Amino acid sequence: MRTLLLVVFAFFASTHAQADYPLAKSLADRVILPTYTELVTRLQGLEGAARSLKAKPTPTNLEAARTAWKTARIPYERSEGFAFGPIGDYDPLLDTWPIDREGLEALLKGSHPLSAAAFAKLPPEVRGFHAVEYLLWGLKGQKKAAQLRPRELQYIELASADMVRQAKANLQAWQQGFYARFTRPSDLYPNEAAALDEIMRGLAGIIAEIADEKLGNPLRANDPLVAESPFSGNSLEDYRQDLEGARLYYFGGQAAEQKAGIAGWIAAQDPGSHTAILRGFSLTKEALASIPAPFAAALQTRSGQARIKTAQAALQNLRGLLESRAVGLVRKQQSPFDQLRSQLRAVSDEYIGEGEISEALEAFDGVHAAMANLRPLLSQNPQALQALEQALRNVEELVHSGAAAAEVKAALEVVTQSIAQAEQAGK
Amino acid sequence: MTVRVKLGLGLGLGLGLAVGFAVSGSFGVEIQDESSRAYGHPLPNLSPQQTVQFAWGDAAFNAVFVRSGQLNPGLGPRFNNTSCAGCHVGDGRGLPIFGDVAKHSQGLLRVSLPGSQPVPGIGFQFKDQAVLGADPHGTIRVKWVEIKGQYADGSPYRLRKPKVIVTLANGKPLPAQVQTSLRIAPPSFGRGWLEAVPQAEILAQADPDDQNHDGISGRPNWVKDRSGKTRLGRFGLKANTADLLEQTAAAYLNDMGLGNPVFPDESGKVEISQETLDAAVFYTQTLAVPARRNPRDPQVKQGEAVFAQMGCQSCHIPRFVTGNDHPIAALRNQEIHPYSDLLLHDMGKGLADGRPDGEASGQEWRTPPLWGIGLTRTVLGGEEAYLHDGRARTLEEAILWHGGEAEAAKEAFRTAPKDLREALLAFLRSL
Repeated sequence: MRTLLLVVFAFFASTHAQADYPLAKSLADRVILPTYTELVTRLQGLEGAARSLKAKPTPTNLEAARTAWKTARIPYERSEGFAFGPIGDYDPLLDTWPIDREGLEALLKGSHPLSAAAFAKLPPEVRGFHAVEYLLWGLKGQKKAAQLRPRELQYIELASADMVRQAKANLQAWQQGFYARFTRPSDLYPNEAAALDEIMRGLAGIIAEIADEKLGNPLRANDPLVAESPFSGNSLEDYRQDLEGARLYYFGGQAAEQKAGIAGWIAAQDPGSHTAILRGFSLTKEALASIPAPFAAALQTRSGQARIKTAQAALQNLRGLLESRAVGLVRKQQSPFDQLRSQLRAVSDEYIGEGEISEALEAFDGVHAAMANLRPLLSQNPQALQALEQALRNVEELVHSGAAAAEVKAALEVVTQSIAQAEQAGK
Repeated sequence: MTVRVKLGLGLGLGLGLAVGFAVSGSFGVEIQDESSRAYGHPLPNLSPQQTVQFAWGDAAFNAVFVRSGQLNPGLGPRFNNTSCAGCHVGDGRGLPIFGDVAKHSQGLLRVSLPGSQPVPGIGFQFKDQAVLGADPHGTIRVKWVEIKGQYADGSPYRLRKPKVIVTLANGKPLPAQVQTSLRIAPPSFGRGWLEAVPQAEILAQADPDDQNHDGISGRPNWVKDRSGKTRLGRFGLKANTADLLEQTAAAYLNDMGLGNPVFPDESGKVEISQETLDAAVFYTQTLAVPARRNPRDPQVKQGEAVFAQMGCQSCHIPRFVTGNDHPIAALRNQEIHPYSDLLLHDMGKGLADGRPDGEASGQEWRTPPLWGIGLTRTVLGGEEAYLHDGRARTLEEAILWHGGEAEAAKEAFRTAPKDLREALLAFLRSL
């Protein structure tokens, strides 16, 4: 028994080639790392603007700092659809919402030392984007440059510099460890399906979050100060960038017609779903665009509220499409070779593991489906394809005839080799 | 169930949301997601209206509280964390982190005086965080003490045990007579199903006097609920809470300093609405359990057999069927696989906190459910922490800490050959 299991293990071990996860890698290379790199650059812009503002608190410099804040906000919002991994450690220090306004005011009025070292010990509720936003705009967004007190100016600079540090640390954590764990078999994503789930669940998650929390919370409370980025009046722009980030992620950072990324895969597998999702993205974008700015005003009128609800419905619809169609389709993207391997594993589990002939035969449905995905990849290599098809037919016939487990196992090993050869040939 | 069928389910779940199918049995109601969001999905058999309610609950669970202002006021002034999700990371467990500048504290320290009396000035829970400008009860520092051990085959292992160093706000240590219990936040998903298990089914597993002589007793913790009624405790690490409403309301008050309709704060203040409390409770009741990965893998199957042979499932009971009277219809008549009996067991001196809680002694702990445990590392982003205080950094360490009633099972593991140990761990990782 032990020996048989060991052989079966060897078979399974060999089915897991340590190759990269193509979609995860391409999204990390084309979308995730560029976005986080951009975030660092733009936060450095904010830090520079904060320094100039401290040196000369003129209306022009205040305006420049506000623009720099809004500019840095864009990559941050765009990253929210892939907020897994290291960002969990830095997000509290970058984007805690709401902030502790009372605590921040007390701190600024008091004599708490304002040094980088002292700042680093402050809690997340007085740090990050929204603390800086509050100080640049004031509660009602009407702050004048002349109202900026010296300690505020100092604090804005410290807070901006701290954000650069956090964004850099996040980028570094991605580059120096998480990238490798996300894009190939690792303790966090032992198989490709796990990485694909991470991608798709995050994408569906941000769409839901815009609807349920970002639009939903202020609508339920009927209070604009409940919305994210209320001081700058940037709430709607935040939400639009959340959606734009999700859209770019869906298209793999490419133009729509390039059929890359998640979109490319879905378009190839199920053009109908692709069309529906595309339409979902554009309807959602239109619905968000049609909420009149500023968001605070839209919340106060009947027609504004109706438009917010329309946007929520569009977002929910898009989320539903992504969850009901895209999540499952993308899961299938586990390279067609890996798909075939897992389907064969099902056959092997049933036949060799359980001795269930009819269930093993049923499992061949999955094998045939996987082959249908695989054939186009081998159109240039008819020999490799033929060898693989022949090896599979052998196994199926053996299973059909109720052959001895050892025989089926040997035939499966031939298939394993044929898959490996076909995979080489297909490259 | 094969991989093929599971792929089909992945597609089916989304459709299920729309039509609200009700399937009895774990595969129909589990979620196919192996990502860091795996613990955060609603039961697929909720009605569309309940799915909306779940989304509100999700927002409530993630809401960051602050001391004042329009949005989420009322925090503290002393607390352990500022949101539910701050400790229940990704709807799962927390790490033994205390006083982290970005994350506050994901664990906490229960305190009491002998006779289950509150500690003057503190109460039953030490709050090591406070809003800016206010003093917390003090600070908690955990020093880890390494302990070396050896498998029967000679291969070494290392365990670690926490030494808690408490410094009060006035700079003094805790008085020596104070009993303490260090805790990490347990996972939040699947709890509605546990609430829906019939009491009789749980009591049927109890064997307080070990009449079947298997070395395993298993006692219910009878606790007084908020109205003074004696009920079966199911939630909390010592099963000291009867239902999720009380569990959630207590967490709002004790972990975040938020007075609420069930438990107002000491001055009688109510800082979160009934609506918010209900939303959060509904959320914890309807968070689903992720599906197993590779349950048919031969090593996993071997591990499942080993799990039974070593006696693990005397307490980690694989299967229950929920009753038909829970107020949430989606929770009724479901076959579930929690791997827990929800009873108290003497786990030996090594794990004891020496702090009685209700009828639970200082050596007793409630069997924690094991479902979903294999995704812990993915959800926590590369770390693991098991047992009540997060001392175990791997599942292997967690097993090796078992003692008391579980001593024999632990010894079976410790003396087993490596391939069987690996198989058992593969089984646990598949949950």
